[in-house]
Amino acid sequence: MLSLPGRLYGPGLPGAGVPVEARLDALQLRIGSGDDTRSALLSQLSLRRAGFDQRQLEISWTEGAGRFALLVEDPAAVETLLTQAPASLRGQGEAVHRQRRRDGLYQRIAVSAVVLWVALALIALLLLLAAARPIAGWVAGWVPVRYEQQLGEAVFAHQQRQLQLLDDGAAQHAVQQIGERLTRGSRYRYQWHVARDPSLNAFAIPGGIVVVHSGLISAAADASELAGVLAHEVEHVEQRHSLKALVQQTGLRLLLSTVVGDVGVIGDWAGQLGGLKFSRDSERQADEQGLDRLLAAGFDADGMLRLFAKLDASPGNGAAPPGWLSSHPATPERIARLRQRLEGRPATPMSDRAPAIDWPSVQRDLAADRRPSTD
Amino acid sequence: MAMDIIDYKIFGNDTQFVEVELDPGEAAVGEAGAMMYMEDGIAMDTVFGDGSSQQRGFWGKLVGAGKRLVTGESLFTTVFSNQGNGKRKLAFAAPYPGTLIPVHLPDVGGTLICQKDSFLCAAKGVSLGIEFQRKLGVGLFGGEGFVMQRLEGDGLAFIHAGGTLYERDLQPGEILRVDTGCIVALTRSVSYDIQYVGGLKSALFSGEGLFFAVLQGPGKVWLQSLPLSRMANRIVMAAPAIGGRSSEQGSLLGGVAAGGLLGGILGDDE
Repeated sequence: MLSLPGRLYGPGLPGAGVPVEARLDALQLRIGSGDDTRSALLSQLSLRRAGFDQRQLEISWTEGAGRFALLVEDPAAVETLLTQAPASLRGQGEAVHRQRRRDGLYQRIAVSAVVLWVALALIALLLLLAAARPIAGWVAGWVPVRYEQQLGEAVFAHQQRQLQLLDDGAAQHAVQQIGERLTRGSRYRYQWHVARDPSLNAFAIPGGIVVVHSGLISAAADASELAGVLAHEVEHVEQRHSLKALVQQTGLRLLLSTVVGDVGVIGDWAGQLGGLKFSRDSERQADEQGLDRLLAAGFDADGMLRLFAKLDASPGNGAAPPGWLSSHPATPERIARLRQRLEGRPATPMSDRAPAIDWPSVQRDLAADRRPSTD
Repeated sequence: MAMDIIDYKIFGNDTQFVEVELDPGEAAVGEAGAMMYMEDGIAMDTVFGDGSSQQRGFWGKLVGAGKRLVTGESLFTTVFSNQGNGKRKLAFAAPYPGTLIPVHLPDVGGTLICQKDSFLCAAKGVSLGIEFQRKLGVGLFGGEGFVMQRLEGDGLAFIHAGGTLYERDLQPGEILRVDTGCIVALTRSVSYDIQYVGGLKSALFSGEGLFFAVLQGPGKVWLQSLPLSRMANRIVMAAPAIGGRSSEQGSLLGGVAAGGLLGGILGDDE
């Protein structure tokens, strides 16, 4: 005789059942004692798995109009019942046993599938991250120059409100003259602007809009130094860096959101770090290609190095963030790379030299510009 | 550990709170932030973990706290004990409109499995654990996720859920199909599974989602008429200030607009 602790459910009993001690012998299942005994013949009983985690065993039978069930929760009792059940119940016990084994197998398969899926997604993500630059370049290659120019115009229209452009002075003429020499034969139609801003900076907008801060022109000792910066900016335009960065960032976000669902804060950080890495690589490329462009246009390439040295020494460059958190490589590193690249290059023949610019008059023109400034 | 027997009274209809009366020396545990008021003489103590495991040592507490974190509760529980001489009262309030129900754990077999986040307060000694959903399909599509909360002990516990709470007894073998997300609590004896709604048209246009939750008796289940997420969804959809639509998807282009388009010669990282 088996003794089974469990809970009894059925018509007239509390919804959450009552705790009982049931006894199972070769003939019948008996619950309770004395007058209050409830019993069912073995042939009436059916066994199945039940409960929240399907680990309980339900023994149910019909009594009059209602259905009663005994739920056995204790794992030891469940095992005993399955292995030592009377012969007439053994068939059902084995069926339950098979079901449990099969479910365990399904569960393992499902878990393996999930793990595999996540691993594959992660590997794909890593591969794509590693190849992000060529892929972004390939996608950006499909964007017509016309669209890029429209995008640039829109961005410039937005930026223009915060800029004070000096578009009719000697400085702008000088920038234009140098710029045009640097961009001979380009597929872009460049626009050259000078903005009143004392900081040493310049930026390029996709489609060929280049803006130089007046502070940079004041700091440049001659035209070749300014040409170094312009060559760098021109390379940003020619290499379509902004467009590629846009493609890369958008693509990464799409990818992340398909792989991990919600991008979340971590995803944002990863995206930004990835973007900064892309930015540093782009800067290096613009430096190196810019140097070649400078030489090809007949400018003194040392000018680029001299200006970078000035950038390094300029105030505000003191508390630079650590390299991996920065959008640009550290300036000393950039100078060293350029110097290395410049080594062994033959000097540009006199005949190919860029035409001279009256630099002192450009500087005088900027200094004479005394219109009210917001800075 | 002997349970503290507490007397209580529930106030309000749609936004309820429960006032609990503690005899001298009795204590109750509450979800962090749920306390509404307490009378003089009741001392508050914040414990790491669920407050039932004072003797288990540091690691036991850490595991208890970790489990609470998984179920979306705070790492800490607050224990309120009556250190005065007479009976003292304190109250716990529900965090959103809904219904509060007392569950006397011995009446339901000593264990109640409930939705994450539905625990409000209990007599000291009730332990709060987690119950993992072992069925992959139910975890993914059953509406309650892979982790549910398990209340164990022989005292009184109060759980809270949105809208109206409906308590139902399921006879042996009786099946109830429930909209996913509406399950608040069930006893261990109830089977919980999912079922495809059937038919492509129903799956797409019935508004019930792809799956029903299927509950099979015997046992007791508690259902909520209005899950908080559903109400939050409607509120967001009706709020023009945040676009009048669910704002879960951030803009794909966000953060790479104008700023990222300028390739300067110097970084502007500051």
